[in-house]
Amino acid sequence: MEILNIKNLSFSYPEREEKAIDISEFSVKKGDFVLLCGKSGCGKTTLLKLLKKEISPFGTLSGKIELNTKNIGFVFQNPDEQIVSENVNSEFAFGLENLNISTEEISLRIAETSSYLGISYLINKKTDELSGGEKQLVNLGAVLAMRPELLLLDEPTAFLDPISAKKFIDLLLRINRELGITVIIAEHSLNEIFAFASKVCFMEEGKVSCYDTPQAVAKILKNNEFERALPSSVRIFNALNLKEEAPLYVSKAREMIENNFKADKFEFETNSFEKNALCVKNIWFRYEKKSADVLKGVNFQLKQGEILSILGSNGSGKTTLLNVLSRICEPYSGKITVFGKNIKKINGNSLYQNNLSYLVQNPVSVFVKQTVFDDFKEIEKDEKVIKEFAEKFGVSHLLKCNPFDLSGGEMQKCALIKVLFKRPKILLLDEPTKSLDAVFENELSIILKQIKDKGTSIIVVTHNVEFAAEISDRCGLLFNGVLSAICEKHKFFSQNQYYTTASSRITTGVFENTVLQREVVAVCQKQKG
Amino acid sequence: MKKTVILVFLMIFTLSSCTGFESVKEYNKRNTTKKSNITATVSIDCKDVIKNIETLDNSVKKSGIIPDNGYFLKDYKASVSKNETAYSLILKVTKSNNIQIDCLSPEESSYNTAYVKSIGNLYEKDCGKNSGWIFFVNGKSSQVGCSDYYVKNNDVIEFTYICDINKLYKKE
Amino acid sequence: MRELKKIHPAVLGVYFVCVLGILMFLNNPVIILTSLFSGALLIFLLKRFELKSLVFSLVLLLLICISNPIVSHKGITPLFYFNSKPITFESLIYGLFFALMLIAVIVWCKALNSVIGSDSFIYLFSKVLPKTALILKLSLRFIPLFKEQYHKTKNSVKVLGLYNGNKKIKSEIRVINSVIAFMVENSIETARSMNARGYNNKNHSRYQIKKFELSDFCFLALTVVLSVFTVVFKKEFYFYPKFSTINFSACYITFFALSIIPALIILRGELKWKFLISKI
Repeated sequence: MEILNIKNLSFSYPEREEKAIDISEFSVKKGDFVLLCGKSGCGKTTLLKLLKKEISPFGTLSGKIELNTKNIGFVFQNPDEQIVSENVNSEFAFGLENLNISTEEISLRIAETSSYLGISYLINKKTDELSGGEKQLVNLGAVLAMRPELLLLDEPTAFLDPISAKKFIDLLLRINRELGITVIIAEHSLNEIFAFASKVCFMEEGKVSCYDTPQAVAKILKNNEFERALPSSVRIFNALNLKEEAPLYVSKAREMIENNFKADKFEFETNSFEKNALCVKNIWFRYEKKSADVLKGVNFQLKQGEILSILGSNGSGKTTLLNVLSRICEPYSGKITVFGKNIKKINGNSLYQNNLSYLVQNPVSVFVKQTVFDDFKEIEKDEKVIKEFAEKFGVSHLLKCNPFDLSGGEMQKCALIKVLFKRPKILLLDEPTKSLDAVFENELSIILKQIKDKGTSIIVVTHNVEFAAEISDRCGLLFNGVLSAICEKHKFFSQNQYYTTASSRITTGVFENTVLQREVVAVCQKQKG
Repeated sequence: MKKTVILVFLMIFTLSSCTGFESVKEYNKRNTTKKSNITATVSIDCKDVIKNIETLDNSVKKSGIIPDNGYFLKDYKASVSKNETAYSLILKVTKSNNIQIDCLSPEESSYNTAYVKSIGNLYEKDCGKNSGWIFFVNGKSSQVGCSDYYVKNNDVIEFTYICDINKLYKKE
Repeated sequence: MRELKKIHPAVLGVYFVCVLGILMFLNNPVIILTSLFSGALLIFLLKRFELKSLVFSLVLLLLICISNPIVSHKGITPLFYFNSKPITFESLIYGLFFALMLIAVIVWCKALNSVIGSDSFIYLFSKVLPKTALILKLSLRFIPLFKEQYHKTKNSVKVLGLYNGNKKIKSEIRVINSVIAFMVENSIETARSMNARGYNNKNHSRYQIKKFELSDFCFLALTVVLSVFTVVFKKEFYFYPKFSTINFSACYITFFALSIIPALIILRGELKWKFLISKI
């Protein structure tokens, strides 16, 4: 039975000629789990919003949307922006009040939904005390308590760390399988979800390019730019032109490699870096006198001209470490030297000019003016230089836009450029790939490598293991307040069993030192002949 | 930072010790009147209050500052110096008779003329919202403020508290 | 503390309104001192006593005590003269008690804030004034968000080198501009989420978390009776031009009883708990 049927749908935003949506046919069966994917701006969000009339955007609409249900729930991208109340209990009650449900039934539904999702321990907490993952779960619960038949989600894991994202997606799958709720989800990071969707819909410029099972879509997207968003197992498979079915899981991919190739080693080049850009000795830090230590004796050096990635789970203190390195917080013990000089002896503002720059998480706070150009002018007075940089990084068309109108990826790029105007020799980045799609992630890695080649040393703090593997020279793991296991990237990821790239997991026991999927492909192709 | 704080404190201290502060004794010792040929008769009364005792504010009623006969000062002969205004005269007279007076000098007042707020702790508006102090010269209510009237020889100056200024205007 | 939280928020609201009302409108030193004592006791029992606020209150006290005599020269007993104007004892004492009243109001408001949790406060309104309740709910949600975003933005501005020590005010304005823009964008998305959850429907029910119980009626009745007695037996006190005499009056007893009720409830709860523990 169909829950959604779209015929000849065409939609364009006001005062714009090009069609944001141009779909001739699209239907979803009851109980399906549909994954919508595509580049930024392909129309996924617009399509989802059109399905719910309360949040439908304004514009010229033609065609038919047939919905067999009135009960539709919508979960947005940013966990913070959806929350209405100060505490979780009344957050759940909000939607239920709007349905004119009695107090007793509201209490019952809250109890039932929160227990099912495993978040009943959060019920009495205040919403500002929750982590991002917990907030998004509360949002999901608040929507579920209204008992929707169709659940629409617009990039719900964009702002979450990988562990919370996994938990969220797992819950969605459970909801779909155990409760029979139809799920249509738009997502960028496909690693967790691609294998489990019943159908994948790939959109390009408002049109549905293909709509089929994950394996079929994987084959079709082989030569598309979007292919880099697909999971590593699929990408390796596509690059090798094998005859089998595309492996969606790591285990299947490993089987495929074991069946077709023999044990081998990947030779990698080590770059040696000599001078120290940043030297951190024995840093101890805590936020308040009575609170626990966050950093317990962190020791490391950042060499000139290298990219160092610092990985670690949520709450391990990565952002705190960057705050200490950029002097926003002062450690109560230990020493930091920047190019040989003690950081305490460097005058406040000269530390940030032509020296050290820090791009914070959620770059929204970097912008304050009406246009991106004005924001750039705040730092860089020379207009020619602004235009030069904008050309180089491909954002010239965004200079006249309001920063808040930019998409996540565009905002991240512009924020990075703004920071680069200070010509830093040391660059600190905090989660630069949050809410970025695969194409932007690739562009970002190219930009960072370019900057590195010009001599800037970079520290990237991230959850994104794949990104870290792509760009870094050395990696370290921050755990229990100490930065441990700092070593060359290939060695780092190869010696880890769980906290490592998908490619590494696929090739454990077969290949050595293969950390990126192009390395796996290179070894395979060498073997083939 | 510390230096500026100390400097500021020192400034306040020196300023305060130079100007303005004086004890009750010192204040009363000041302004001894010089004798001269010109004299005037000054009275301060609040008979209208006794007539309208019900409208008098409770706090004033209980404090007992209203004299029984209605006069704070009756027919006091004061010597008048050159260019004496009714304002400077009443200041002198109340001081030498230990009567409280609260007034705004012409510079402080918003009417550019002196304004008497209270005499003998009896404040304006204590006996109804239209009550206050006015002064009569030789039986007639003055057309100018008390700092604009220059006292002449043998003038009879009466500062009266009336409970309703509108009634006075009606009379006239 | 738990005992107090069991009482219906509307009843507690009426209680605090009565106490604050009597405190502010019956300008009587005995009442002010009584309320200060009971309020301080309540804050201490609620464990919300902070040294910072004590210092702040003392500073406020000093400021008002100094400024009132300079402004008001009413009063019979002049202490000394400043610029030919008398600084009177009465106006000094008036200033003192005015400041004490303000401090008592602050103390009671603090107690109110900690006893009536913010969501109970909202539920007070939600049946009667639903739209006001919603605005309050959203404001309470946005305040900590604003604070957090302010700190984040300040850090990122500092790191961009735009937070100059010399142009501190300009930098602060820049930070606040950015935070306000963020809040505006945030609220648009929140509105969308609210719409998506059916906010525009015509009929809304109201989620009530507490029902009226017998103990609530008793508390309410006690509050009303004591307040009425206090007002009926009230004693006017005058500062100017001379202090009125302080005679004994029944209203002082009734007000003391009224103001000490919450503290007694907390103490009773603690004693009960200790008694039960000692039996184990």
